[in-house]
Amino acid sequence: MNKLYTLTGAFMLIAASAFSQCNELFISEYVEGSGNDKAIEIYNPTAAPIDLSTYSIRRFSNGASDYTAGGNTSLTGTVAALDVHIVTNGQTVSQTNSPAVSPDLLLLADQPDGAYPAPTYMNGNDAIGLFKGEVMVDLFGKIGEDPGTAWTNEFPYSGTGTWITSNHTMIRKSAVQTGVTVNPDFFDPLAQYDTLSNNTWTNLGSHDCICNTINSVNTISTEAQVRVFPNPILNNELHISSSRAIASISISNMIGQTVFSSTNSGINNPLMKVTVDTLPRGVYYLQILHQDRTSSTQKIVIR
Amino acid sequence: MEKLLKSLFAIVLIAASASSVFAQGTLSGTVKNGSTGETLIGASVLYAQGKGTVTDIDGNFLFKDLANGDYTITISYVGFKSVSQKVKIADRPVSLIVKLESNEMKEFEFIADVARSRETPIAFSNLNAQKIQEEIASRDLPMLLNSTPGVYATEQGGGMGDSRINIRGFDQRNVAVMVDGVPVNDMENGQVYWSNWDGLADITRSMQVQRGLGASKLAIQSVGGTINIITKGIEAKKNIFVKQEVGNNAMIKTSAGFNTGRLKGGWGITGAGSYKKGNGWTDQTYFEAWSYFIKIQKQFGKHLISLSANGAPQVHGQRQSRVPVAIYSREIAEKLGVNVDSVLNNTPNQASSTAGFANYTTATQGPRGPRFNPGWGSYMDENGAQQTINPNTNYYHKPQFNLSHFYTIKPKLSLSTVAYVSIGRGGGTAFNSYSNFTRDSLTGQYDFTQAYTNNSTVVDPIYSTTENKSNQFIRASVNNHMWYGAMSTLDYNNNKGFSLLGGIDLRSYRGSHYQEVNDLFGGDYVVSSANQLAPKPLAPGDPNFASRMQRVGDKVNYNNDGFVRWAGSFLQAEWKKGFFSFFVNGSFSYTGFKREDYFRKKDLIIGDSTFSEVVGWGDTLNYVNDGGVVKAEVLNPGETATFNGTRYTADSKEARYNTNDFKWFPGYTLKTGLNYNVNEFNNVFINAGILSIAPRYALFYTNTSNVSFPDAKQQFIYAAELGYGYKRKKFAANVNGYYTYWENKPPQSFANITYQGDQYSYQLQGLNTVHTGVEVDFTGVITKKLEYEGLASWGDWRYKKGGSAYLFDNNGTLTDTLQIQANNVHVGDAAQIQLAGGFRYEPFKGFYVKTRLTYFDKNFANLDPLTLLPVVDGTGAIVKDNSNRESWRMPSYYFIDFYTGYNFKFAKMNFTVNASIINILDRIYITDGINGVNFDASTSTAYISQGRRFNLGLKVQF
Repeated sequence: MNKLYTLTGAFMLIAASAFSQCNELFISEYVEGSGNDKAIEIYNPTAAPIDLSTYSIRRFSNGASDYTAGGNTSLTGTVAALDVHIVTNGQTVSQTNSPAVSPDLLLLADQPDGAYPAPTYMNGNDAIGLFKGEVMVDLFGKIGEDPGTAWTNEFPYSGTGTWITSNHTMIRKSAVQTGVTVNPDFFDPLAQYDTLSNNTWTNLGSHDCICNTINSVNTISTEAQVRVFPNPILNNELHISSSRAIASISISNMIGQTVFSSTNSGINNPLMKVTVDTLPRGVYYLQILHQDRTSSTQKIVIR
Repeated sequence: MEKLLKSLFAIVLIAASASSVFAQGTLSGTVKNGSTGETLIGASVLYAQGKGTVTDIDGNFLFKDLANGDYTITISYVGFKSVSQKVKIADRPVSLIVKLESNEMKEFEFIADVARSRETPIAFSNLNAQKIQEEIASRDLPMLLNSTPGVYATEQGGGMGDSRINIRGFDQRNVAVMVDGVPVNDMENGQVYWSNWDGLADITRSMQVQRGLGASKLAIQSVGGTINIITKGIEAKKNIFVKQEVGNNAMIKTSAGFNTGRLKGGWGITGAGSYKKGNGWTDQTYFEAWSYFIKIQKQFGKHLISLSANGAPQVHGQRQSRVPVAIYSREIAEKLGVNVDSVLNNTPNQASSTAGFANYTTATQGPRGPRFNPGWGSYMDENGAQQTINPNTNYYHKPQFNLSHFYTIKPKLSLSTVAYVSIGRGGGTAFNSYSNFTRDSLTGQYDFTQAYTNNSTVVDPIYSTTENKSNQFIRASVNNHMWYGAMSTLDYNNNKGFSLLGGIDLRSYRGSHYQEVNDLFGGDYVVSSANQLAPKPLAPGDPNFASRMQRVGDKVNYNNDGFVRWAGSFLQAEWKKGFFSFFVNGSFSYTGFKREDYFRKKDLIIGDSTFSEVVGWGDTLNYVNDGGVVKAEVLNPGETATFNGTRYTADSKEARYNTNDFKWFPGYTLKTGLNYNVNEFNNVFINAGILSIAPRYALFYTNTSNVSFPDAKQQFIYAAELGYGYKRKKFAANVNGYYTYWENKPPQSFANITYQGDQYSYQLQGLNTVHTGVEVDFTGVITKKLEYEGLASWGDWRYKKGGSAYLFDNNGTLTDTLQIQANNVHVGDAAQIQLAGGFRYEPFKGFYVKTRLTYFDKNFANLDPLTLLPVVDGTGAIVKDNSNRESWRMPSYYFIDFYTGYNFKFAKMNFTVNASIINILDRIYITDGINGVNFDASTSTAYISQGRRFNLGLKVQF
């Protein structure tokens, strides 16, 4: 009874704020790793694909109140509903005092970032803004505040305390449904983010958010609902479940060559288990062919 | 012979070769002041008891028709030490130039351990006041020493007083500098900042460079050598002088001084002062400097007391950034095989605009030329006016006061004591952070406009709703000091060639290190939370936010004091017998360090327990002594005790500033040497020694933490030297060979590096070096009017085996230890081959023309230990093994300096007009390189020389 009450309350909240929640892109993950292993993941909480051409990310470096020194990157492409768009540092050649980004991280990129001073040269004390045109739709950090090395866990979150925004991967809490659109007086990095240890990239590629539920409830999809887990694939084993019976799958690499294919066992089987131990690490496309001749494509990561 | 040995002076005999038919000859000569080179009028010259003459207005004397035979000529003059000289008159004219040394000087020389020719068994060179005055041309004193063998001096970035000197491959920190016998090397890091000694050249009577272990009795760190500077004292003649100089880049310098001579009652006062100002040859290396010097002396009976004060308040702009050669000069870079366009274009993708050379220039714009100083920039102020600023300035004033006492207790026993105080005030300025600055694409200089506009417009309501918050501001890194010291030496001399002396050397030093806000650059305050003892805001609206707002003069970033104590003693015995002179010296020192931090949390001392860095502002320590087991827990503001104990805060009487006990290190020196005068013309000497040197304070502590570096090792130096001297009437030469083995050569304190994209400071330990070499120098006269000199120095200075590089993060925590291999890699930062030669021509009395060529070669870039690490790819496989790889060898270079002047009398006044042209051929050359990742001219960074410069002076003395 109590549980039902809570659920009802949650639905009422969602209904009340339906026009301001889960309706605009926001930053879902922040990777501030070693060297230039940096990335920003942007999440589309809406039920529709979003054309990214009017969006940009901007870095407000070391307390600057503008982004001249920190850089500005216009986003490209389209981000599907409830999907994410990953921008990683794009430096491929090591230079004095500035190593190249790890190839593993770069592989995860939907969009490698531009040359220095691009936003993904952040180092823990830079605010990162997501803009639509000139309107700020989300902000990580506080513009105009240089917290020292990083924002910390201790009020007023700068100067003293444990550094949070450097040498960590930070994931937006799943309850967050919308970005920060006003520069805050105080930036408490743990209020909206969970931290993972340095150089953790396993969560890049999808975002666990309450909006996934909200918008999938409201969406009537003609496509099959396909789940692939674990993704990234860690032990060469891949499990696929679908709302329809699976006939076969094929895996192609980033340039479209088919590198693996397999037929499902049994008839009317919505589950399939695949062993992919022959494939090198990397990002692939998994195409699932259903018995009803429809197909779904998913991006998978093998590590 | 023995008389010669005993004399303090260099005597040059010049004999004319004309023959004579008479059985008698003439003896003529000139008597000069040995330190200034001025002739002495009225000096007494006796060739037999009661028979003699006095020198004329030009300092000359003449005896005609002296019968053949042996004479002892005795020359004496009031205020100077008399000298006797044997002369053989045999049918031909004999001419003498006799240089007398001031009486008063002896005591200072004694304290300062001045070496003597054909007696002290070490290698050295002397520069007298005349040479200094002819050649200084308003430069730093070290630049003159390039004309002595084994010395390498550069002007580094080109700022006034930023010169540095290196002797036999050992840098400034290992060259002891003594002014009137008082050590001046910084007690924490060993450096000498020559900008603190501007004006010293005007008051120097003589300067001696001793190479190798040197003649110092003290346990000082003279690994490379010792520079002894002796200031002017009371001269025999009273005089007043005024001098005006002008030079390149709007340099003007006015100096004046006086000397009372010896007044009634044994008093004497001498004083000098100067003011100079100019723009500097390198961009934005402007300077403004004052200097003053006063010395008061009083002699009564067996005592001589001398009180002196000197100082040089100054401010000067600096060039602090080394850049690749290609950014200065296409011509030089291309000669070195650099693809200039590639270097100039290959810069935009740097992770930091300061670490890289982004936008310094582009291939289309080309190199920026040798005056380029990347450190300065411009901005538009609130009135729309364009302003220029060089944030890299140095300002300092270090007055030094010496009180000396010489006491002749008995003819054979004397005591000399000097007590001194040095008070340093000042520091260097720079922006707190450079990472947001962009460069003007046309000039390559910084554009600070955005920062200035931000600072003057941004309001952060959590601090103030009306005032503007500065983000990028100029801070000064202050390094003040208060240094007291005293030295006392008791000397016994039996007047039969044996002397024994011993004494003590005590020093106490406190250095204050902090950064303060120097210029808010358009804003009203900056936010700093570095002080953990300052009130901390705990919630929005807390009035304690105000304690984080810092204004001009407020301390930021770090604030700590270093304490250094030094107690030394020494004993030295000398024998002189016949053709031999021998010395043996032993000294012992005890050095202690301590650091106290005023920004970190305080310590608590409860009973026998010390809790380090536990209570900051608002913290409480909850303490329970539970049956001998100490439990302590820091509670944050508002927390209540979790168990019953005694509570302490930063205000408790048990709290103290975070510090630690003095760490004490012993050190010792053992030196011995022997000189043998083979005959009247030849002498040979040998010396050897062992030095054990305590690690320096600066190797122990970073600016951020009291956690001392645990692995700092004692240094051991083993050195031996062999020398030969030849001295004839028209030619004199010296040849020396040396060998120095240095175990645990330390690097320059905590240098900053970027490793795998992150900033660290590092320490190197365990590197050994071997420095061997040969030095030759000679002087001679062709005719009375034409003198020449020359030198050659060849060195082989190498690292032996490798060492460990310790990396510290910006909290001062040791994060990594890297093994590096540098076996047989040449020691960089100084030329191992040096050649120089010059002549001085005086066609008629008072007029001289002088020129010198100096050549340096085998100059390697300074080792960057990280470049020796293997280069690995993403999988950890070694792509390139850089172990034991030779640093970039910089190109050889030469320059020619030219000096001329004329001394004349007019209206009973002495006038001196002089002109100097430094680097007359306008040679541009590379100095002070630091090895780059590819060990070549493309990736290494360096400073570049200054071009042709001039200095004109007029001095009036009356």
